[in-house]
Amino acid sequence: MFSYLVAIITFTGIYAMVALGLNIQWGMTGLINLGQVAFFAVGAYTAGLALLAGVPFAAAVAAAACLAGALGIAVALLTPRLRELYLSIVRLGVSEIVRIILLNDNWIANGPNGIGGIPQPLFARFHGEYGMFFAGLTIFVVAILLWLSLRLARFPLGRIFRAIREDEVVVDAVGKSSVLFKVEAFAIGAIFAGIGGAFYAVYLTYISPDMFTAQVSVYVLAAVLISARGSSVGTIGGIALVAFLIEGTRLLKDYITFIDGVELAAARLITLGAALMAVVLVRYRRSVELRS
Amino acid sequence: MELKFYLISALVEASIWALPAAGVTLIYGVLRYPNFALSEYMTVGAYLALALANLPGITIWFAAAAAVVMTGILAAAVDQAFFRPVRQAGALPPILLSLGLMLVLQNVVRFVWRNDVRELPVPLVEPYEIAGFVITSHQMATIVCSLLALFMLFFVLSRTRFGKAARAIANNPNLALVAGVEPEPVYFGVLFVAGALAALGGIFLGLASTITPLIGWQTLIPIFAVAILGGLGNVLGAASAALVLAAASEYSLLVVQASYKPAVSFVVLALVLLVRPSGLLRSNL
Repeated sequence: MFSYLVAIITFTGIYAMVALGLNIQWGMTGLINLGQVAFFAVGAYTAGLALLAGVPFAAAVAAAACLAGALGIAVALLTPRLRELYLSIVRLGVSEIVRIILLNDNWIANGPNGIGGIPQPLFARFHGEYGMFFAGLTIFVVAILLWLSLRLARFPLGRIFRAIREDEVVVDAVGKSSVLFKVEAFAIGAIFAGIGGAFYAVYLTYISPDMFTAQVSVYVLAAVLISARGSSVGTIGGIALVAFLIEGTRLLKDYITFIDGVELAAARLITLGAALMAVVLVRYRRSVELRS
Repeated sequence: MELKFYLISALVEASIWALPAAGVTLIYGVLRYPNFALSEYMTVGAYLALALANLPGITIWFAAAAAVVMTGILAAAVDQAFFRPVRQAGALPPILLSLGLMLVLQNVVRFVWRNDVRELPVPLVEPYEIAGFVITSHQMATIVCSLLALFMLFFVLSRTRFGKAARAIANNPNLALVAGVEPEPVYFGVLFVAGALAALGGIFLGLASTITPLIGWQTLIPIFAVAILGGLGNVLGAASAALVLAAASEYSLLVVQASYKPAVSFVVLALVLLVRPSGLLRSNL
């Protein structure tokens, strides 16, 4: 039971990194990103492959962050002229393309079998207590990323991001290139997700393409949605809720004996989808009533 | 010859894609948001048809027709229940709602029918050879029915009062309101049509391959690629774009391995959007 709690905390931490990234893109800057899982996947695979090649942990995470950030810049730059609605679909498509490429590429990524046996840092030191150690490490990194998010929100950069979210034209009018800052916001968000991916790879020691479907993007989207407008702390709360719904209810499997695994997994996702819809209705109904 | 083989499968795939893509583009034109749950109505429609057809005494035709109608009603009802309260709140809430709905629909199907691979209870057929093309009666039925459905849609949109109202709202919602158009019945109709079209596409997809809870999800990117390529809101564009992307997707098999196929339609879309950000044809109804 206790080790299960530790596991949930670790998962929550990892997803929190990804969600914080999405919060910078969407919560702060107003860029709808349905494809956040792409950067998560790139980070995971980069770190996994680097670690397998003997690269030290910190360097592997840095590499994951860089590659994810590079992909983020590329995606953001490729589509500067598109309307935001099309963009959201394009980003979704990109994340699926990434997954398909990972699924098919047998040369580096080992295709559908994924890569396994990823070495965990300092395993020898903590052996039996490794779960707790890694959970602690994850929380530590999440705290750093959270702190960065909060500082970002207070810096002039964060103000520009919020300005872009509210009224992009004004940003250009006062002489700041909104495109440049959108790319920046997107890239930072991608880097966060990449770091999360690195931790994911190390935690599970095995990753495969089917772990990075677009549904993961929906999960983090739900988390950011639950938070208030761009609140980083709120995002953490949101992802804790989502993680509990997804992973936590697995615990109930032992108590719910009248439906089996497949049905329980489906029921969990139905609950998540319904919860997402409920949050949307509650949040936006108020704004409709205010207007009328 | 290989090229001819690909042509038939491209036509079938275009027929399958055009229907839900028309639904997506219709919803976007009239309600102004991309409905990501529409691909799951394909799944729902296919499973409903499967369930009905397996009942004694029900022919596959009746099962398909009933499933189509039922899915249409479901889509319209869901819209009235969940999307109507946030109509005035902009494009973001319905997008998010449709994402949640996507999860719900797919997993309700999974809950009831599990993950097994199933097939519609239709007899296996021998392919005919016509003018050098090899085609089965199933494929012919798919292509013909899809064309019929698209013609009917076009007729409804251009000649009926409902169609005119839908086009009015798509063109200028405020002016339509002023002119006395009641929006909610139109929205009901639009969702019914979109859901029905998606279900029909899902049934044909199940006919062409197999039925699993993921068939809608796997078609999500292609149908959005089709809808965007044809210009969101443009039904004729969607039909044409379906042909283009299906052909590209099938003929890409000459160049890349089959497992990359889902990516092809998206890559084509990305390339086109780089040059023409608003899609191939103009965006209107």
